[in-house]
Amino acid sequence: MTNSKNYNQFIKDLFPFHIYFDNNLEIIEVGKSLLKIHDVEKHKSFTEYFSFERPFSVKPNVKSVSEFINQLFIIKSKINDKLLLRGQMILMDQNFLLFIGSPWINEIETLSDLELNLNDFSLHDSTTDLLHLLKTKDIVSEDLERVTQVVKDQNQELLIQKSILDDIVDSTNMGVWQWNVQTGETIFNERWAEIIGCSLEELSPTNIDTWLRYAYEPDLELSSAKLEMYFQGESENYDVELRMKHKNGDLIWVRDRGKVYSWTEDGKPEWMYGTHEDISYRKSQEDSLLKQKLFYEGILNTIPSDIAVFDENHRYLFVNPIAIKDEKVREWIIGKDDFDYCKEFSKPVSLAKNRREVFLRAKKGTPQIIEESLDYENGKEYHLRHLFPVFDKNQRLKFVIGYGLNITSIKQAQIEAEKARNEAEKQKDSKQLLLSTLSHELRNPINSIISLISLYQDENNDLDFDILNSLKVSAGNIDSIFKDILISENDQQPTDLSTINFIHFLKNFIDTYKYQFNKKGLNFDYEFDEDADCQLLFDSKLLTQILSNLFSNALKYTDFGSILFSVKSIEKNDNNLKLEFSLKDTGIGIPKEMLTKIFDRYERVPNDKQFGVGLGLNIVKEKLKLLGGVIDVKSKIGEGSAFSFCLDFEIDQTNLLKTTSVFVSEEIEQSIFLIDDEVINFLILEKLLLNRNFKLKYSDSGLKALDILHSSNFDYLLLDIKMPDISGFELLHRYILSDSFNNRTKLIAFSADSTKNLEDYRFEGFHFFIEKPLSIENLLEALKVENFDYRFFDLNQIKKLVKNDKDLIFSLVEDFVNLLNQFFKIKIGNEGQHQLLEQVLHKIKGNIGYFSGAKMVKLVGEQYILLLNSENLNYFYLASKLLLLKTELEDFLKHD
Amino acid sequence: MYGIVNKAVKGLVIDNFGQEKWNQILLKSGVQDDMFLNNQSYPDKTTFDLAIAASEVLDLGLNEVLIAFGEYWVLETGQKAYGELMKAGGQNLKEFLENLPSFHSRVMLMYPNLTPPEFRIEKKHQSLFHVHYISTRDGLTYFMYGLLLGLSKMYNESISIEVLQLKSEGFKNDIFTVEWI
Repeated sequence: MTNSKNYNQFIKDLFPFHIYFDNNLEIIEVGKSLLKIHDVEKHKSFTEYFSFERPFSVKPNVKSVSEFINQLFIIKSKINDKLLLRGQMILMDQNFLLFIGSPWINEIETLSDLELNLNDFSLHDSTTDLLHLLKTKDIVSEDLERVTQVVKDQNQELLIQKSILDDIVDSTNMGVWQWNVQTGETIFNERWAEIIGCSLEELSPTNIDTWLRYAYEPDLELSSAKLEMYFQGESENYDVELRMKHKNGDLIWVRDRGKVYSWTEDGKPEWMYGTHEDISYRKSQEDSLLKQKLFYEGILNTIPSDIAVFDENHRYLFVNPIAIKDEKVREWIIGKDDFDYCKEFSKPVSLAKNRREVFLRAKKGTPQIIEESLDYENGKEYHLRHLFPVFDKNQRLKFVIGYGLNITSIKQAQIEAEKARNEAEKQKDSKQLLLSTLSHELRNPINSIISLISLYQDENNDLDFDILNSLKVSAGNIDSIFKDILISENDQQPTDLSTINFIHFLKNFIDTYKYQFNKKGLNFDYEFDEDADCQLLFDSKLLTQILSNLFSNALKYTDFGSILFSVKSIEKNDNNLKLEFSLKDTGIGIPKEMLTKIFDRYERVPNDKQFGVGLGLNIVKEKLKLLGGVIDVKSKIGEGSAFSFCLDFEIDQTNLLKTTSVFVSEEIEQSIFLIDDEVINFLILEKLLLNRNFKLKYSDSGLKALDILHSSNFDYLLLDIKMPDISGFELLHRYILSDSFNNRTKLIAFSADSTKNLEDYRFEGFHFFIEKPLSIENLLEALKVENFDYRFFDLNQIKKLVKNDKDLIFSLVEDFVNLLNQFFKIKIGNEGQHQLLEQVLHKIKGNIGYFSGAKMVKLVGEQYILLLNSENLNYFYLASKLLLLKTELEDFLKHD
Repeated sequence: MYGIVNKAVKGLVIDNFGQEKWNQILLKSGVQDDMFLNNQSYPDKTTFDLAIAASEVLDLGLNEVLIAFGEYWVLETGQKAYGELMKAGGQNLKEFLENLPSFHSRVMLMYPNLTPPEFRIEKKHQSLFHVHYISTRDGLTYFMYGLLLGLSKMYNESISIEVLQLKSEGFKNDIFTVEWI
């Protein structure tokens, strides 16, 4: 510091802007940085370059400067008016002055204006710090300005948002509330009050009790529950529809929604805000819509048809319970389509695809009708579906209504009808076949008959036995054709039950065929299970028809070998017996392809040698069906055939039904009285019974026959039904009611009328009937003992009533016989008898149902009504039947 | 760290990649408020989190991101805020670098709560300086690298910068070589 050079250097380094001048203000030295920015020549006057800016009153002389030495000096450049130097004056030796300072810079830009760098300043000089601070201040100011702008912008935005929100709130007509959950402080807007018919002023001061006061108490529980759910985080917000009490006393519906927007430090809800929306109108509309919906759904649900409504994308909007029965599925399908349905319920996707195609066509505006088949566990269902598009006034699709009908039954009927039509076609073909068969088959025997008759006429021969036999065979063939046709057409033939010893039945049956098999040289054998030796209740006529057809076939189609007929017991107990029937032959056999067809009508094994129209096995099948049996066949071409079937029989345990067994015995001469206007029948009868132990009597007149019957008894009476003088029926009634009537005489109708059956004849009083023409077979058949069973007396009726109580049955029968005796004691025509007749007939009417069938009950009833109406009852008609019933009852009492 | 640094990060991303990417970076970094004040001090973590998130979202290396930030800071953010002050740092890069140590020392004086880095300039010869970067922070080496790069562009001078030594590799401090070419 003592070294002046060093000292000068020290001043220069420390104060790069200094000025050193003498007491005359002549410049001695200037700092380097000042020189960098300002021209200053040494030894020139300070005042030439600079002036004092501060202090204001200082004069440019040492003395004046000395007076202000303790003050800040600001020196201004006279060359560069931007340059101001600030610093202090130091009075040096010899009144020399030293100015120590640096440029007074207020903004950083001045630095560059003065072309100064930071290193132009000495390190101790805080000017740069000041500049930095000033810059920092600017930056902070800018930041603040920016932040202020952001805040202003956001405030502006908030105001806009608030204004928008206010507008929205106003336009939605919503009430607004704010609630401090913790303190109960509550703020409402005017609309909130208005909804409940109040003004805000009326409600003031408001708090949570204001809300509680106007809320409808029963709904508060729901509101609290919803609020709690929201506070627990179980829902996004508080949202509830509840009722409030309007000032006018009405209840109104509001939708109350809210959210918490501030929480306390310990996590409790603090302020909530929310809205009140008056939804009374909507609720009433909903209510009304719901009622309408229920009304229409009620209608749609009760229409007995599948109904569905689809949106424009084919999704279900509605389905009625007919279309989908399961309620869960019905709910599930709403909003879904058929593809979803098929996927969920494993239905073929083709179903959905087909429905979609039809839907798309309907959507274009054309109603569609399709038939759809659906596979279910229980079988196929068919539905007829209609799709109707519904458009609004702008022709935009609103929805598509589909309705369908279950046409399964119609469809099945159609299928059945189609089958039937095919069958009819087939039958038509069959009938064509029948006609051609008939024309072919009938021409042979008819031609034979014509030829034989011609031969007879030409040769004027007596009736030669061979010719007659040939005639008989030919006519018999024609007859069997018609019988088959008649039997087969009579599908509804009722079963006619009677109790017969089954072994006797079988033996009687095979007698007819034994002869024919032997005659053809066939070895016939049979095996009957001993279980069959009992009384069975069955329709012997039906079984005879079945067996006859099978036996006829065996006879027809077997030229060599043997026939074996067996009846085996399969199952037997006290009440029932199951028998298997089997007939084996060694005939030509049946081709394999024919085995399924031979039971169809007019189907037969081709055989030119044999006669037939193909009805026999169809009859077997159909009649067996009536008895509950099924025919089975096994056959091999050239080896033979075996037919079999099983039947269940009811065993008659009582002996009550056992009929009087009087076999036709040729050991004792039997008398037959034939009454027929055609003598040829008597001639044939004579021929047929030639060499047999029968005594024949003949009358060609009914009336004459009555006389004969008056004086003679016969074992059998053969009565032609159609006679010129008197019908066979009337003749019979007269005979029965005559004194000469013998109730042991077997009464047989003799008729060509195929429309009447055995039941018809029996009701007339006959035991049996023979269809014309007369043959030895049907004659022997007619004379069989089992035919002479009871005609009017039906033991099953009384048996059902008293459950086999034999003594009681006898007692009841006796009583009824007595009643009938009363009837016959009444003298018809006598005055006063009418009332008695009425009383007796009334009793008969009341009891006859226990002893006889429906026909007799009906007849007695009809006649009683005629009597009540004082009309003429058909006394003889009624009496003849009651008499026969009486004789049968008496016979029953006598024999059993 | 000054908010001005974070602002640079934000500005760089928005200018070059768009607001959407910046939102993604914010989300990823977990930084919630992006209204940075220039002279406000923010935790260093904020800057690092933003840099790391930007690296992931923009699929760039972290060093690349830091260099880009540094360069951007000088050319955009720094110049806008401290343009004249920076110019006062020197008429050229050499002067600027020579003044850099005292400049930062003065900053420390003004903001006693901040811990700005220190620099030492070693003039190897007329066109080769060693810039010693002495910081209590780790991980900003390449931000410094980017700053140097930005300065060379600001003064429009051609230099090559290399990292001579790294604090992360066990040295006392980072040293960059700046060579005028």
